Amino acid sequence: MGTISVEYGSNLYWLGRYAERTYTTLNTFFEYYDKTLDKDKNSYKEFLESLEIDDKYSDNRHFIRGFLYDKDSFCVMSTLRFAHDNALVCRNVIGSEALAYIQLAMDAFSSSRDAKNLRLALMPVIDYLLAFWGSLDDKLANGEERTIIKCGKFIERLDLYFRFSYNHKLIKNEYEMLCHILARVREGLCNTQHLAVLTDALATENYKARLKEVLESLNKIFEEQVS
Amino acid sequence: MPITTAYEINKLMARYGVKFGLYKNGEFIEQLFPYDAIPRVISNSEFELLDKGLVQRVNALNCFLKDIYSGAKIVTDKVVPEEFVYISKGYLQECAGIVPPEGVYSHISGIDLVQAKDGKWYILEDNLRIPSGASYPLIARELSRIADPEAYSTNNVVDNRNYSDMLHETMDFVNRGGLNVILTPGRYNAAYFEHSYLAERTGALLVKASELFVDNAVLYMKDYLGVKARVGAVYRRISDEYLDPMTFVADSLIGVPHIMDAYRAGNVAIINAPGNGVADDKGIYYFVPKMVKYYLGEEPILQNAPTYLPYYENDLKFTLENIERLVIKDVSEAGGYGVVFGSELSKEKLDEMKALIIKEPRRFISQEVIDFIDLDIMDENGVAVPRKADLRAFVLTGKTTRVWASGLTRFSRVVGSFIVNSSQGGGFKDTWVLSR
Repeated sequence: MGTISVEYGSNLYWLGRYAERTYTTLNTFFEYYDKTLDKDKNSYKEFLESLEIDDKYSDNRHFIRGFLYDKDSFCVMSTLRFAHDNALVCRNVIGSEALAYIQLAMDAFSSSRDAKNLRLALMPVIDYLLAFWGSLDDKLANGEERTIIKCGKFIERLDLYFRFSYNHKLIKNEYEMLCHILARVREGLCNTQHLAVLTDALATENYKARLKEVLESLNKIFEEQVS
Repeated sequence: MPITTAYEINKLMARYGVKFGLYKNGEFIEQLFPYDAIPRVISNSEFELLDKGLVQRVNALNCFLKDIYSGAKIVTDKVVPEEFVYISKGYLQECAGIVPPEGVYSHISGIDLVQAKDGKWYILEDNLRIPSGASYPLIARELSRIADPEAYSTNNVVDNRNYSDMLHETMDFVNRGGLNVILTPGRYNAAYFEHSYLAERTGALLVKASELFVDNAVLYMKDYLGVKARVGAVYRRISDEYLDPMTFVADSLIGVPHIMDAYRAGNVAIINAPGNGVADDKGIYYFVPKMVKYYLGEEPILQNAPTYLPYYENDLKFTLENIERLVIKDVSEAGGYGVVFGSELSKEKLDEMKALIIKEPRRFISQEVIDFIDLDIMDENGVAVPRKADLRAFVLTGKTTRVWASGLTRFSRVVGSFIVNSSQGGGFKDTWVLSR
């Protein structure tokens, strides 16, 4: 394609972020959900804390439904809708097929609302999101558009992995993936100086103490250039 | 066709987001465009006639536009009264003297036709500004070939999936050097699906006005690193009046400042050309058969619905005397609005309408009601029921003028209603042209 405007670049980047936010949040949500079954009914509080979300829920049942389906911007339904909003304006680049997977994920998410077994009912959402990424990889093998979407994806993934204190090795792998993508972008697209903070923090396993600084730097890598 | 097939096609439509937007009480609502899986079928010989007639009509309309904006000989020769040209809302003084790239004014023409019960086709309306709707039968065909492959192996249907190639060729033909872009008002436009889908299919960039700028009478798009790329052709999906705030409506936020300067200098093609509205004015419609004779020296192949112009004394008298059986159209309205059937009005309302016509004769046309054919649509129980339907044919002009072997068949979902517009609840179906 070649020419990507500031606005379009931003849509692509946020498409990557919201699609990944939905995917990783759902997966992590179900890890906590699993704990609430028989281990710790209040484990959801830790989940909310990691995301810096105030606990407005009366109990874990309230949390489970509310966090998935309420209209707050942090709820999964909303992040998926934001992904769809961005995908919709990128149809000509990502293709109708990739957009359709986001649409299918939306439809599956909506129809899961009344399901007794949420985990089973939401599995197709995860499947469609994976199919979305597969469709993108298939259509945009090397394009700059793909790089921008992938920047969004890995920045979001690292952001969440840091917040949820995923293990060091896993985070390092994702960090290397991000560096690999950033090495392919045109000069000036990203402010890679912010990577220094991440490199430094990941040199030891004690990055948690610098979480705020790490997250700030991570989020500036692309956004400083876009805005 | 079994109801399950229709269900599958509609499910695929939902999957691919085949929607149109509506504003209701200030709120933007997006809904699926109701699709009926029973296609309209046009025989090969019938299409041959339509093809010739539509090419002829669009060529004459292009000649008219060229003439009107460069001397208006047709007015001087008193074939078309000047009152119908210069007070038309669609006539733009700012376009006088501009010859668009390759001399093409109407690149994409949407011609609305109906077929009467005797089989004869009538032109109801010409749409030469931003005729929309081609994307719907285009994607419908793609999806119905998936849902019902048998239908295409057993019938000789002309493949209509070449529309995007035709559009691409049209854009390339007038491109002044640079990118092809589709200019959209944005995500909340009623036809946004169409804008994005056609961009995907043609490989054109989908842009908003904020992504374009004019420098020294050349149109550019700026990328995120500030690098500018020249734009050679703009398929704009924005009305004339909002296209350039420096020339038309000053507070337009969806237009590109100075784009008319670039256009005037011949540095960019605008598809369709600004000012085309003068030729698809409902008042001018009356004169199109005369244009065919005037510019091409030919007899019109396709006929208008019998139309009367209250502007002429005899037609005014006829309209007033026969108003109960005529349809009255306000020439300044579109989208099925401003259309009144005399038979549906009370005596009081008829008198009001008559007074209005006498007061503003130029504002109205009256037409005989064409009792056009019903086409079967499938109701929710899978039973075929008849409904009124029209056909929007798409005619593309580039190096030559070509008719797309398909079209948008719109139908009313209300029994007996003649109003087929999507904005008023109508649905659509695919249009099959048979290859033999």
